[in-house]
Order: sequence, then C-alpha cells, then structure tokens
Amino acid sequence: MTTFPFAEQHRTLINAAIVESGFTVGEVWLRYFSLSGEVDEYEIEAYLAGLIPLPPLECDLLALAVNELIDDLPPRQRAPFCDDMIRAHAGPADGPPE
Amino acid sequence: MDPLPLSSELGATLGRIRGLVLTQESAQHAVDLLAQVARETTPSAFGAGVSLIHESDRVSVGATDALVRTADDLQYTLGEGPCLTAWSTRSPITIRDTSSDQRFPGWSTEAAKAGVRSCLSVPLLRGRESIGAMKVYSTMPGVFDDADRARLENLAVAAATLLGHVQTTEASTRISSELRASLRSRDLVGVAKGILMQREGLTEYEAAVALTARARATRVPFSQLTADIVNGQGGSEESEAR
Repeated sequence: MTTFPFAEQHRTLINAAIVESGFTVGEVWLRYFSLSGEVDEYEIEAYLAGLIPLPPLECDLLALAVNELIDDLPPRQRAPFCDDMIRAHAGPADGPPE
Repeated sequence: MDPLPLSSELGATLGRIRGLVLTQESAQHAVDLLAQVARETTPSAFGAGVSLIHESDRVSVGATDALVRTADDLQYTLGEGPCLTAWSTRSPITIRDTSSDQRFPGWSTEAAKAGVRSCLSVPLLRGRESIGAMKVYSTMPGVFDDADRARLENLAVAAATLLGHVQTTEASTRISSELRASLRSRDLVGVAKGILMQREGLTEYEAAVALTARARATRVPFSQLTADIVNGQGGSEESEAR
C-alpha cells in the first residue's frame, strides 16, 4: 500500500490533538463528515489507532475537522496589560486621551 | 473522474441511524426484561410492569401480561394512577384495595373492573430525575407488604441505573438534528466543489484540495467558506489574486 511522506507521524499528531482536546471520535467524525469526508466512523477509528492508512485528502479533512472543533472551544482567559486596566476604569463616556 | 462514491456516504449515515434504532429496541428489551424480573422477585404479584416516562408521556413500557398493560394504559387515558403519582412525587405508592381506595377514584374503579385489586408502584430515580415507574399488580386485595416494597425499591435502583444509560427520545432527537445539519453542510460542500470545478476547470479531487487549502490559509470555517461560494460571494483564486 502506498503512503505519503510522514503519514505515520501525521496520524500520531492528529490523534494527539484529538486526545488533548478531549473530543470523542464520534464528534470528530460528524464534523469531518459534514466537511465532505468520505470515510466512515469505524475506519476513522481504525486510522487513528494506526490500523489502516487513509488518502492524504481524507487526512487533511480530518485535521481540518479537529482544528475547527478546537477553534470552536471557548478561548482561555487572557491577562490584561496596565493600560487595559486604566482604560477599563476610565468609564465608557470619555473622549480621546490627550 | 470517478463518480461520487455515494454508497460510502450513505453507509456512514445509515450506520448512525442504525445505532439510534438499536438503542430504541434495546430500551424496549430492557423494560420487558425488568418487568419479568420484578414479577419473579415478588411472589405475591400476578404481573409486573416498567414504564419510562418523559414529561407525563410514556416513552417505553414493558409488561408481563395483558392485564398489566390494561391497568397501565388506563392511567394514561385517565391521567391519574399510582405509577404517574409515584413518578411525579418520586415516592412509592401502595394501593391495598382498588375497590375502596379513594386516591385515584377513576383509575381504581376501572382497574377493579378489569380485575386488578392491589398495586405497588415505585419510582425509577436517576439522581434528581425521575425517569419512570416500576409496579407489581395482584388480582387479590392487600397482598403486598413492606418487605415486597423494600425489595421492589432495591430493584428499582438497579433498573434506573441501567435504563438511565439507554438513550431517551430527547437524546435521539438531538443526534438526528445534528445529523441533518451535518448532511446540509456536506451538501453545501458538494455544491461549492461543483462551482469551483465549473469556474476554474478543476476535477472534483482538485476542487476538494483547493477548498481545504483555502480554509486552512484563511482559517474561515469550512461551512462558511462553502456557503459564501454557493451564495456567489466567494472569490475565485484569480479574483482574489487581483
């Protein structure tokens, strides 16, 4: 069976992203399916477990599905800067600062 | 170019739907089995039943015989009865004699006519949620004692745990609406691919690769990207380069 370069490492990294983000294979598959992925859920599971290879386009659609799910997660809280604090306390009805 | 591998798409979708049908079947199987177990653990019972109730409607019902089914159906046509009350108040209900009990006058009268003289009903509780009721019936008055009630309550704990894991209709509605949304989104991808094929002289595979590359470069969600192309707002590669 022909595989593309670094296919095995690609699979490992996709799987790691899924595991780290906490999505189930079912959730990932549904998104992948809605992006026009052709492979069924059991085969995706087999691919992620390293049992079968997938064509490059299917791997990329899977990666896209995982990334979109990750992008949809609520963002982590960010730390404000000093001037963010000053602006926040200045009130909403102030004019441009001199 | 290969024709669209439709069988694979349908296979994937059917796999999902088949899963839902199976869970409905296994819910029915589970309530039937639990009704049998309830009768076998209550020697003085004539018959037993298990109902899964969701918003005052029965979702699934298991019964050991026709009399149980009749007594159960009466509760839902009359809108009153021991199981509905056990379910809604989350506490067990014992009726020693249907010919004299006054709590559910309509149901008691009809049940007595059908041949049911006593009844014991316990709620199926899962956490704070009441998911149904388990009951035993007898054709003789006053046959159920505290030991029967304690045993049935214990059994109800195990039954509720099992049935809580069976998907309710609410969960399957949610999944099938997700599936519908997914099919709609997939359909849009197909149309967008077709537009790119026509406009830019690509094969289907090349169109899919181009779409993936574009989603990746712009980080616009795929569904929005394809919707824009279908609505005529998505620029071609050439117009974007200009």
